[in-house]
Amino acid sequence: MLLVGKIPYASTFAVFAAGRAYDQIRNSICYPNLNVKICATHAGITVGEDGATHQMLEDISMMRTLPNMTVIVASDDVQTKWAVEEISKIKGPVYLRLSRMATPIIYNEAQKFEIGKAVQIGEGTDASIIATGDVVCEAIKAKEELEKQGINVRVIDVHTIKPIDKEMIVKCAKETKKIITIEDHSIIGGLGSAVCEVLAEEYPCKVTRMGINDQFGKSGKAEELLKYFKLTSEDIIVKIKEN
Amino acid sequence: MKITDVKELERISNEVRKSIIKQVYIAKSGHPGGSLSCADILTVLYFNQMNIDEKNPNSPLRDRFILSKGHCSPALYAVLSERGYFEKEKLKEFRSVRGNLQGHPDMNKVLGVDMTTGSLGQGLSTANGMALTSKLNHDGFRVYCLLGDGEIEEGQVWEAAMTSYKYKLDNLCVIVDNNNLQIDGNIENVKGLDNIEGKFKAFGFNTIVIDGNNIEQIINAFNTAKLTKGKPTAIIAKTTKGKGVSFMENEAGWHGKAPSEEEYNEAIEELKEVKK
Repeated sequence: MLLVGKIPYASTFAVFAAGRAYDQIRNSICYPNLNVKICATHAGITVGEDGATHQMLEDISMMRTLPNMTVIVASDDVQTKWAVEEISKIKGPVYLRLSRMATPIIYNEAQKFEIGKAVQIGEGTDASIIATGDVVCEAIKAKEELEKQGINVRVIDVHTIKPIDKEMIVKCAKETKKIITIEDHSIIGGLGSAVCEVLAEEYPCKVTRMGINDQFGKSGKAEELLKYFKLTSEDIIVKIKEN
Repeated sequence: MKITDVKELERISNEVRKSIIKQVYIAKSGHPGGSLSCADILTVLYFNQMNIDEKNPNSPLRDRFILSKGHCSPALYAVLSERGYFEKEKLKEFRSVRGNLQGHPDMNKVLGVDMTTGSLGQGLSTANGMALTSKLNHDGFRVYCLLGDGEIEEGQVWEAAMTSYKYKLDNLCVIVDNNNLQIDGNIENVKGLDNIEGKFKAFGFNTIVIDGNNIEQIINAFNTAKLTKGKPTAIIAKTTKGKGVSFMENEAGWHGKAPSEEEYNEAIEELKEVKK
């Protein structure tokens, strides 16, 4: 359709959008660099009761490796609204990753976002929690709890996985004692990997990756699954304290 | 430019065949069999049917063609160069690292290519999008999509066919290059593929079965398709794989193989004059 004047927005569960349609995305969208927007919903384990077949944990990895593709992961309602509109201004393929679980609203409507620029929340120097998508709110909860205990961390909301905000990541590595990444996605190939790639080349340091540890998901309530896979604010706090 | 003289179209399609053989011979790789089987269809499309202008190649209202069986790119490059989209000299760079004529057509590298193809089974989906937009915008252009018969074993083709029917895409014309052979052999032996017409009919298409190597029949089929309203048309073009080069005809072995020097000379000799 875009070849003749419309911008297609295609939407389905992430497991089908990125998984089943990978060949179509690769050969008929990214290679010809066509202006198609893929808005994938129900990404990550927070799909819940439907279980592993419907919990897409590899899509960031697959999508960011494709030339010409921009990859966005929205963390709340405000950011999602911004992203859906903003991606129409990018001339080329975009993968927008959304999740099913209702998450708290993080930003007020006046918040400004920019593709490729991560959002820094707080100035703490004890650690940086670099997060994306539906677990950004867990990172913020951890930050608030740690503050009460005298540990000052910052949260970096990486809504654009590709192109990744190298500048912000390097800045955090320089300014904070620890780097922790967290994502509702496999630790292989996703945000954690992208951060490691940047730091390995630009500012080598230790990175702790939190995410799904080379496993498939399982059935359960979203909140129970976040606990099961150790992706809650409590788990983040444990990680920050332990290493 | 619209050529209506059948003899002239036959002459052009013979030139297209020579070009196919030459491209594959020089590249030392490529797909001559399926390119030769669809040479007459592409000749009619580009010289008789499609509303296109090589001097205004990006006109938004032009008719579109999608070579869903992208491996038959030599046939597309041949008609495009015959029509004047690019210099014939460029054909020597087919499949070469030096040039832009990729093994499978790339719309961003070659003027006149309407869609990048190569992964079989996806062209009809793209054609649907184009045809639907033409209707939504009242643009009035037509969309042609050439599928291989082996290609229609891909499930996506039938998902797309349901979409063509659902949106009553009567500005869409599918052509199946029904040469009966795919890389592994006869289509019936490989996947039990028969009654292609019945399959498209069952999916709601207007169907026309023709001799796909007969210029007059091809023209008539496209004209009938244009007059068909309310549903898409599928032309089942019964063709001969390797058509025009006797030793390549009906041989699955010539699906994706380049001729030797001796075979090349023999083929060009056979194509010296238009066969009757």
